[in-house]
Amino acid sequence: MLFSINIPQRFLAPVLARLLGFLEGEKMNKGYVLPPLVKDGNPLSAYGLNQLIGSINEVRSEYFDYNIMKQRTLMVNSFGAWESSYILVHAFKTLYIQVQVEGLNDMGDLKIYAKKTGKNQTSYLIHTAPVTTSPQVLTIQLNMDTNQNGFNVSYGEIYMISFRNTYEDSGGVVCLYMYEFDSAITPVAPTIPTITSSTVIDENYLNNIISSVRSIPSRPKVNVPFNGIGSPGDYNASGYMRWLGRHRCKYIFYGCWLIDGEVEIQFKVNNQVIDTVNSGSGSVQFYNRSYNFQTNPAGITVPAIGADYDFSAEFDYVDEGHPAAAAFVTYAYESDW
Amino acid sequence: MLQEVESGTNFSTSTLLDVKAEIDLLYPIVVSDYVNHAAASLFPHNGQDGERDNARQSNLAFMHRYKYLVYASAPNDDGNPLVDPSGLNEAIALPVTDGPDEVGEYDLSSVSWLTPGMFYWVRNVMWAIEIEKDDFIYG
Repeated sequence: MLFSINIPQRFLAPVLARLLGFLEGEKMNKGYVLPPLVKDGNPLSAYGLNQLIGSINEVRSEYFDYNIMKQRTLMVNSFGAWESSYILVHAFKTLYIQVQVEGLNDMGDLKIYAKKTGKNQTSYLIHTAPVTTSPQVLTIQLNMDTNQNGFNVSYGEIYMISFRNTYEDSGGVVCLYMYEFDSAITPVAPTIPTITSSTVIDENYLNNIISSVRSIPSRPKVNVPFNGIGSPGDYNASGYMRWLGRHRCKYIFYGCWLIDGEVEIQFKVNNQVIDTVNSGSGSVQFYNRSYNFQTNPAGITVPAIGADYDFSAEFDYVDEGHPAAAAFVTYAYESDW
Repeated sequence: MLQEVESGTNFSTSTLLDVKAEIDLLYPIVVSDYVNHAAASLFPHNGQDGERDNARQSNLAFMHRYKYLVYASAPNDDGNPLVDPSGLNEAIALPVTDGPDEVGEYDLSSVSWLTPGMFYWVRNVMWAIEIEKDDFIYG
């Protein structure tokens, strides 16, 4: 005797979508159900449409809601690995590094080392970049799927990249970017025609939209923190408080504390002042601030949506009668609410 | 954020236009930011007793997202508190690793007050990241 099991489509669809995603070569778990494709002649259900809408909202959340500023490390004078390290979980083929060299004359070689995290790991010199002029921006790309002068790392392993230089003169190197990418799996933007009075919303039109969402690859599940940075009350130290922002949202939210007497710091977007915070006289003061890019009260040139920018905090004034004066930036991120 | 549609309601082109507009907005961001960011380790202010002083003052701010916190303690004996900035909840004492070379791991799902999207601080560490371990099936 044969049995027929009637399973509602709403139960089957998520399973089939996951299976289809797997068969399509999806490398990472997206954390949401892929919207199903449609066919001419079949009803367009609210359930199917909501899967599409839900997927889009998930993608939006992934890229917009966790938009924390990332540290741009400044390294000065003769610097060692312990003051300039970056941590990565190996997920993509190419390691992209960009540094800005400032104020150095004949600095010599900027050396880049790699080692796996954990005890008793060996540090390997994986790249040497001669620096002969300044200012200049150096861009370095390394294939981390191949042996880098003895260093090998597998997908999912955590490793550390650090910079070293032994030049003793003043000046510095700022790490502007440090990330992995793989050009072979970079998403390609779809072309979705605007609906007009002559547009037939058929299988082709709908599946073009649905496929564009289905084909967005999952990102590595690595969550990077905001590095809170403190600085003592001298002007030279201001350059340390610098982060990479990627403009997506309406607001920047940021916080800081100021200590010991009159300290004034300015927060800047691409070197344009958006806010000045003065502690007045007194002990520790805590501040939670925000800046609205849309109303733009400081009248700055707002970065375009999707553009990167420099977010920094700099001492504007320190009462020299309070040598222990200091500032600490505790958080900074973009959000729409 | 797009609003879901209700079964039984009229379906209009405006819904699809909203979907198109959202995809057109998202894709440039997705394309430009389809990368695996590095987490910066902490560094000294002026190279003066740097590692110790800076790590003691360190303050990593996380917007909670994934299950596991992977970290390396700073070379001091101040402990590694995981802090609710609001002060409403007791700090959690993360196990201290044997110096910055040893890697620690903590299951954040065991922190009762920590919910997705919530801000929290981790102190006195050289570095820390959140990961979802089961996801590492790349390549």
